[in-house]
Amino acid sequence: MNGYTLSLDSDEEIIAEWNSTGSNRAATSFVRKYQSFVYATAIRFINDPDDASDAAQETFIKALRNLKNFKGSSSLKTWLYRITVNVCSNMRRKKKFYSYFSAEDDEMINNIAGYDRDPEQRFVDNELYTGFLRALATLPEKQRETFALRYFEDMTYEEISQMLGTTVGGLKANYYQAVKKLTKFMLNK
Amino acid sequence: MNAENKKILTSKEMEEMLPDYVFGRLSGDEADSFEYSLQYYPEYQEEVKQVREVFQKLDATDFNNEVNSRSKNLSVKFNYKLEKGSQRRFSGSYVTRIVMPTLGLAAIVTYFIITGINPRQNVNPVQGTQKSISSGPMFFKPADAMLLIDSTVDNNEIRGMVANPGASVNERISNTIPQNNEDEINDLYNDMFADNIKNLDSKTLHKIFEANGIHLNDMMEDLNNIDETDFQIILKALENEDFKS
Repeated sequence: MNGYTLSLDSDEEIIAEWNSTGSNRAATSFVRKYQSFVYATAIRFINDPDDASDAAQETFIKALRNLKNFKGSSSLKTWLYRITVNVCSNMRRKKKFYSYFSAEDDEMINNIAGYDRDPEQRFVDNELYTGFLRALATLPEKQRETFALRYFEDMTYEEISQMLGTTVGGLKANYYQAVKKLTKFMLNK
Repeated sequence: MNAENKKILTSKEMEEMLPDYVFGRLSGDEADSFEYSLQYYPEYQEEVKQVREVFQKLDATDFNNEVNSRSKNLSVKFNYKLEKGSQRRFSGSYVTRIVMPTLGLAAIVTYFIITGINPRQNVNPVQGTQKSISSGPMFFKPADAMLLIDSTVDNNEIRGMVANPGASVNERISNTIPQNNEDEINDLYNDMFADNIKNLDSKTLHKIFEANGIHLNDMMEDLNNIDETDFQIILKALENEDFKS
């Protein structure tokens, strides 16, 4: 007897079930599979945890609405990455406009560290963590994304090349420059 | 393997392999090759040491765990949002929804660019210069707006009215235009304003906004309620606006 699973694992299963039935199982599986990736991408572009969460949700909504149009010429992850970047760009454009008229100060990174550690450790981690995020934010976009996708997402250069549209040689150079700058920034702070 | 057969990597190759070497992403042969060549590059030896020092500390903070913990409830939030659906909070015709806010937005941005006023600072009343943004007379009295909508007033007339609000216009129309329909008058005013604002010079714009702090806030309030897709259309339209002062 075939058992009913609560979640779907492969991209093919998710796409097939979503396109045929629009099931909640397919949607939830899709989100759970890529939520860390999408959120991590969003936070790099937006630098605010709440806005990044909103951007991530918006990304998944857009992705599911357009999943029927996904042709498979790139991986689902690459496709999702591009949607995330697009959503974040729109959000940044809007936020930039509003920030010009807002009296609120930017508190971009201070609240990102987890709240479940002991206070002293949290303070130490927070300093390093937020310092690193600041360093990351200073990088040019291509270097930052190359670094994040290679270091955090453990992607191959070929996969990153598909996402960013840069040659493998270019990516390696970007990666080196990113690591060098991050190291220098962290040692000097 | 005979050390003499090993190739010394070029500087470019060393740089391309350095991060992956430090983070353990090189294959066995690649790592050997890198390590062998490293003895010939003291500057990269130092870099390897520094990168290790920084990233070992970073690894200890469990960066990925922070992201995972922040994103773990995304599926719940997402499902809620999906059920709720995207709501259009600003209804109306295309002209009302898109065109007017676009031009209003253009005017707002122009105003702040021209005056150099930082809207984040408290605008304190300064004699003869700035006015508090929360106070100020209406630019056009309702009767003026009605007249301008119905007439074929040109830009010179508008400039004249701005420079001397209520001078000759009120005398011409005050006896004929009803003044009790504030909403309709404001709508007409907005239409007229949007139609003409692009043609006004910077000084005139300056006077308009100085006298219209209330309208500025109304525009911002409307913009806050615009649907996301519409707002992006507006922002993109503004990219083509010429904001020369």
